[in-house]
Amino acid sequence: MSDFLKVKDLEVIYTQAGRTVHAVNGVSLEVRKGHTLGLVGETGAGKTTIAKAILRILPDPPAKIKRGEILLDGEDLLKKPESEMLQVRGGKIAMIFQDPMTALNPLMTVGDQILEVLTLHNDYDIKTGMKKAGEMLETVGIPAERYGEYPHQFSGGMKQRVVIAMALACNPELLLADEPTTALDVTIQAQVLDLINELKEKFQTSMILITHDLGVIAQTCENVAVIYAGSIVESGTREDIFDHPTHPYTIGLFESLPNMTAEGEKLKPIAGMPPDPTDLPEGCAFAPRCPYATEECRRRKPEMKELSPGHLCACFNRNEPGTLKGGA
Amino acid sequence: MSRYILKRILGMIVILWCAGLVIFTLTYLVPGDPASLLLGKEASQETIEIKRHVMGLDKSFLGQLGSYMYNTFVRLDFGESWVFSSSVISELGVRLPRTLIVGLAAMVLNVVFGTLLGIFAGTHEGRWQDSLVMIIAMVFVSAPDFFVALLMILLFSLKLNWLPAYGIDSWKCYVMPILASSFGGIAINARQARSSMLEVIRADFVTTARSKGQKEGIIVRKHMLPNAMMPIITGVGGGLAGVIAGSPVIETVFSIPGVGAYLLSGVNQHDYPVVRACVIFFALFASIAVLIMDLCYAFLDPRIKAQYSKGKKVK
Ligand SMILES: Nc1ncnc2c1ncn2[C@@H]1O[C@H](COP(=O)(O)OP(=O)(O)O)[C@@H](O)[C@H]1O
Ligand SMILES: [Mg+2]
Repeated sequence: MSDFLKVKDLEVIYTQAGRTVHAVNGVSLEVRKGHTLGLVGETGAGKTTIAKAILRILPDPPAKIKRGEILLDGEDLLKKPESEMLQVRGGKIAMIFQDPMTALNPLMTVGDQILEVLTLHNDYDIKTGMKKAGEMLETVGIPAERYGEYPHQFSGGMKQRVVIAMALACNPELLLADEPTTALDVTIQAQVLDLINELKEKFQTSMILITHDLGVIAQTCENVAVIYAGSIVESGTREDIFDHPTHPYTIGLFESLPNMTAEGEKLKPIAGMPPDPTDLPEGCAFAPRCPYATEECRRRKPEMKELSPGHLCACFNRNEPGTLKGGA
Repeated sequence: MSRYILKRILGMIVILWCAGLVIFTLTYLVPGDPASLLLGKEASQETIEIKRHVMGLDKSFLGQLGSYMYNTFVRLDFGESWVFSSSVISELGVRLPRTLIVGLAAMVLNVVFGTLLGIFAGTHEGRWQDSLVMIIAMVFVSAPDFFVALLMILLFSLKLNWLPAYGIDSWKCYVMPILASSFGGIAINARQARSSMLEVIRADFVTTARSKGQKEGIIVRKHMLPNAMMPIITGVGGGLAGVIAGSPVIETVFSIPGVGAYLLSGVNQHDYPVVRACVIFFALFASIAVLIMDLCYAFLDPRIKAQYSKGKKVK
């Protein structure tokens, strides 16, 4: 089956005060119909930038999509005129944002904010639209009577529910969920995640779930891509990544996780810091922190290699799927 | 909400009361005996004493203060001008419209042009349009009112002979005073509007609106402007008070017999009832302006409204 969304060799830079931030450097991704791709990586790895690039809502300036293709059902979104993109945004592709506290307009009632997206993509009259918006609120577990309330009258978790209602209002074929639970209390996180999954099943939506939390990935994703400093370093099915993590960075991620390490063993946070995106190393971006780094790693950037069908890894030194223990 | 308004009005009364107390004390402490200044050097000691008694200056400080506060705030009687022996309040009544015409018109210019320029600059951030507006704003902010006024007189009255340099005989007389007193405010409003516009342009909810497929023009109108207007509105009240407070200067330069000029003549001639009444008027005006703006703010922003409406707790 062909991939529903295919991102090919995407490069995005930000230009700021004469300096160039290399936020996304040749990223390729695939999402299948009805599937969820987990995109995992540290803060600043370029995850949000990828999602915004897909919707073409990056602020320009400072952001610029340098090259790449974003194929949705075979059509390159980057080549579409803006007027057609308006139909795609909120209609075919919707996004859930990282911070529900600021994602809603404080001066508009939550109902009206859902109504806005509904009327943009449907021919509803106001009355039908309001009824639909009320139904969407109910769908995410908020009584429709709260239609006329303002964002400040809702808690963080409730606001995120409103954002989810907004994103799913027009039955998008692809949902970009950008750390949908990061800003929420731990107790609420699970609820919101369950809600997203449930609705995704119900509406048969494909999804890119962005997170830095491997636990979240384990619960929800069929496929996983690990991103480091704007490049995908390893991708595959959930089993590939969780049972056979291969790239030293992926292994590092697992070892720095409390519940993934055997009892009694010490946590091993990855030594060092992610590289400065304005001044990326010439070779592999992870080389400065990598225990296996060789001279070649510092000189040349490794390509993605297929280790087993569908399991790709960008590392010179690791040529077959790893095993979790010991990482070899 | 009505509770809040009531509270604010009570607060306003207290502020006026304090203004009265302060201005009375200050004028009392000014060196020189108003009675002898009024009568001139030739007056005999006896006449001066009689005058002092008539003016109530022979009473103790507290006695004078007491009767001043009683007359002003209980009987609402501002007394008579010492120099002209005319009722201060009726003189204020005649002069007030002139000051208000200039003040309110300047305010409208401030808000309209300041906001438009600021939004224009904000939406062109970093480009030459932005720099141009900000440079003009900086010049306007730094140039004193009276200086701008004098330059305008030189240009429009003396050189081009388009507008009268002084007086209130026709509407033309008001053009320069209004313009001269609005420049500073336009600049301040433009800077305020620009910075709140910039804040809003980068706001997450604007990205949200984009992600819904909303058109850019509607995003500006529906999402950016209302949010950017909030801080601008707060500035309007203070700006209005500022325009009125600047009236002594503008009214002197253009010889407009308004409240500001009245205040200044009162100060120059030690005519304290006039000074006190004008100051109370300014304080009253400023508090009303700020109150109205706060109410607008509360009315437009659901978050503020929620704070003010009693009994309805924020959920
Ligand atoms: N508006 C912007 N201007 C300049 N740099 C930016 C901007 N937004 C993001 N960046 C930079 O791009 C990189 C990737 O950011 P982002 O996509 O937000 O990462 P993530 O979502 O993975 O945390 C970071 O180095 C960040 O500093
Ligand atoms: Mg992010």
